[in-house]
Amino acid sequence: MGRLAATLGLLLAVGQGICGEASFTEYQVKALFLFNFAKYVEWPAEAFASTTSPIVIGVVGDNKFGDQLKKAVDGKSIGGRPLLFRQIEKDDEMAGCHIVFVSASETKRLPDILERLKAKPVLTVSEIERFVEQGGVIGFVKRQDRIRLEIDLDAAQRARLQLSSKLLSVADTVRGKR
Amino acid sequence: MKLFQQASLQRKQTFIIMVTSGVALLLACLAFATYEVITFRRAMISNLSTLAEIVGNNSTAALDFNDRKGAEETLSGLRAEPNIIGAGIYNREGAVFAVYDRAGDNRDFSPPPVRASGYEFKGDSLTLFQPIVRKGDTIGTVFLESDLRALYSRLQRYLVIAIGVFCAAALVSLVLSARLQRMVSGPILDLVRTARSVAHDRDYSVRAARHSQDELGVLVDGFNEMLGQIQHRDLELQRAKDALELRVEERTAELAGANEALQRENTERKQAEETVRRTEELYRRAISGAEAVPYAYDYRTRTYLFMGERIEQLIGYRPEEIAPALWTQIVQESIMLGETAGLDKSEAARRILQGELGNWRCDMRVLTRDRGARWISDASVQTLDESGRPVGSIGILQDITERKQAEEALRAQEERTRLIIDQAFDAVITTDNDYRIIGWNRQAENMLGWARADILGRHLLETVVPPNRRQARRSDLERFNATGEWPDLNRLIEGGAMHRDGRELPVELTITPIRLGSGHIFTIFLRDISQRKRAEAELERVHRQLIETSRQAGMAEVATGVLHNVGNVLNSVNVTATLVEEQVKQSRAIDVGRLAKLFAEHAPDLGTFLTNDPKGRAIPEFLGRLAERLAREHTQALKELAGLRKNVDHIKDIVAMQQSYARVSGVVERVEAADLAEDTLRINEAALARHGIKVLREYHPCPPIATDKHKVLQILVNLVRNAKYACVESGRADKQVTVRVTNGEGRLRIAVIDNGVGIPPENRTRIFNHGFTTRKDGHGFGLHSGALAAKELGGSLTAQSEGQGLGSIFTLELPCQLPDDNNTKIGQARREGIATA
Repeated sequence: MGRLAATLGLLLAVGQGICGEASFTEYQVKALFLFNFAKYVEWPAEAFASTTSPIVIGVVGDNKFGDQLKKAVDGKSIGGRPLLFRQIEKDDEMAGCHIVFVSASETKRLPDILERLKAKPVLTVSEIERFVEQGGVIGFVKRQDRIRLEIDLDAAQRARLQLSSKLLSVADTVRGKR
Repeated sequence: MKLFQQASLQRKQTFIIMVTSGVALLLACLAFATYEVITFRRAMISNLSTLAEIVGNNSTAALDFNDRKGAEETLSGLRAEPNIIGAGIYNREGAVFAVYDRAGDNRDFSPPPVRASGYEFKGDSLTLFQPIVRKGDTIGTVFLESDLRALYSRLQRYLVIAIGVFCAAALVSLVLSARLQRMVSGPILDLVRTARSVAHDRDYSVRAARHSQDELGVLVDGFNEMLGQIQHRDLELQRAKDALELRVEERTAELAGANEALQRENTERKQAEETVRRTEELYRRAISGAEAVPYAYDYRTRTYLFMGERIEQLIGYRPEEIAPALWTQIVQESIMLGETAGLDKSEAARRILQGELGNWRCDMRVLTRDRGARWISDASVQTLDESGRPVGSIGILQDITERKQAEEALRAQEERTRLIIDQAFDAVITTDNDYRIIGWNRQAENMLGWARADILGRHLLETVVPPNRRQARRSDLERFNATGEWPDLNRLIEGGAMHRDGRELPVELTITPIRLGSGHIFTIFLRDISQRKRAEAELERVHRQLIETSRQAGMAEVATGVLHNVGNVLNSVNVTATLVEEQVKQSRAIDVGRLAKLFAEHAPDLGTFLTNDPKGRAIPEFLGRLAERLAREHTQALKELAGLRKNVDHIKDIVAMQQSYARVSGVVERVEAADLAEDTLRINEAALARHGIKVLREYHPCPPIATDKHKVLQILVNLVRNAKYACVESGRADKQVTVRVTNGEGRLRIAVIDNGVGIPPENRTRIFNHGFTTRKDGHGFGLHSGALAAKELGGSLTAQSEGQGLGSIFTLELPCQLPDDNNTKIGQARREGIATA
């Protein structure tokens, strides 16, 4: 944790030193957001084997984070649960994750993926356009070079996830009933 | 303050009350105000902190998801708090994330750089930094700045209330104090008025009125009582004063008289006592300082009336033990002195007792009690009765052992000195400062023939100093006695001393003055130097002989040269003579005889013979030829004879030169330097030619000089001869001697320069030494005598050489003009030269 914070701190410091806020790459920001989602989302108790089971973040499709995501979560824990990164090779693996990031490379396969995760306590996140309209929980959208959020509360409810009102307050668009 | 001191009691009381209550009120107000401010400030901080907490909590998601708009919206909620001037949110890295600026004021708010958690009061604002923490993770910082308007308005309200309360309280206490103080100040003011009237009118009958039973009442009672007492005393005092004044005047007069008498008496007695004490002290010190023992002796009882205590220290007997009998026992030796000097002790005692002598002085050697010996001097004077008869003596005994010992040591020392002087090799004569002889040692006796006893007391000038020197010595002495100057003192000088039999001895002497009291005595050390003088004379004689020998040796050499020259010339003479002889032998003059004989044979018929005989007919022709031949022979003979005479003249010249060289020197004559050089070379000509030495002549024009030609010649011949030897010894082929005559600065220089063996540096200073030579057969006298001769002539002889094998230059330098009285100068130079040698 300390080591990662130091590494991250260093990275940020270096990035800021060179060209300020804009120095974060798109995927760095996305990785950070994925990590932060874990703080504002509550999973149903049956999603975990025990109170100290890890929160698993999986990536489906091309991993454009490189090792950024792994770095962002490695060694960290939220509410006593460690965070784990997993690259999803087989679709079966997705069920064991708590957050699944669907890469843009999987646009065509998306309905299939969403079908598989239907009614599972999994927070689905994707950068694919119109992700929330297709049944995803949180979609990354780019506006004026910034990564913004679209949230579908109905989808969250289906997955039995409790989203913090604070998370909603930072989202650009919140669909579904509150 | 001065004003306060002058103010009345009444005012002072009022003032005190007012100041006290005013200060109390003020302090109370200040305390409340301070408490209020502190409390209010705490409340402000607490409020601001809460506000920051809320803002921070509402901003976590905005920070997490980088939502500035969301954060700014949260901040804009602060509009509800009009005191907040501005606010800011910083992200985790401390960069400003969102800003809030209160609308409606003129300031442009921008958040300061992020700081650690904490608040700060500035002049007109309160600022606060508070971190935003979520679950122990600091994700950003909130900054809030609030103005202090609320605080200030609150303070303003407080001030107004405080002033109001203060004024009201002051008014009330003023009214109250005016009433209440009269209880205290009233009676005091009454008392003051009474005291003032007493002091002013000196009326002690006035009394103060009493108003109360408290301390003031007691004070008034006391005051009245005091006044009563003063009134009473005042009266008494006046009465006593009048009586006392009278009595005092009487006593004062009495005392003054008595005191004066007492003082006078006291002074006189003190002076007398002082005189006696001083005299006594003086005597006591004098006697004890001299370690003397005073005594008094009575002739009639033959006892000591008094004997000083110190006698025990002197001889070990107590004063009471001292008696004439003891003295007889312990005195070992007595020496009578003073008036009694020379007398026997008993004889002296007899005369004293008869009154013939007044003073007794005696030195005694005394055996002390511990068997030691001490010298004691006894000096006494007679004491006489009314009729003038001696009845006793008073005297002083003194220890003089040390003095005696010192005298003894001195005598021994003197004896030793005398012995040393007697044993000295030099004659030692001591005189007083008038040359009266007071010391004469054994050596002086031996040297000068006077016995010590005969000469002591006689005058030095009349005995030892030879007659011709007496005047000079006397004036030396007189000058020394007058001025203290005498250059010859303490120096070794030569002089003469006269033997008792009238002989004069050459001596070396030193005169040493010794200061003695105000004058001097002189010690004269004399040494007979006749022996040395004789030796010197002998040395000089040998020296002269050597010079002569050398000259003769030179002459012998010259003679050899002369003989050689003469021999050469004689050879020519011989040749010429032989030639003439041959000529005469072969002369045709003999034919004349034959012709005469032929004529005699034919005398009868001479005419026939001459005309008819064939022989006779040839005669005339023969005669003509003969005459011609004889004339030729004659001319030739004359020629040869002339050559012969020239050679003989040459021989004469040579011989004359030898004579000139050998002639006794001492005559000064004018000579040309070039002639001198030429003569020199001529004398050495044969030798130089024999060794194949080339001679160069460099004669620069010089004026003739006046000098002793023969001496110069001797020097130069010697130099040329040395040059010849030097060249021969070098063995070189181009042997060469140069004679150079130059004239410079009034000096004539004749230099003889050779290219021979030269002089090694170590010898350069020695070559003029007597007896120094480098030649096997040299006698080492040539250069030495040459140098001396040059000096005699007022010139010098010097040598130069670059070193071994580099030739040498000997230069004879002579003055161009000899001084007029050259004879004396030469003589003097001669003496100096010998001395130097």
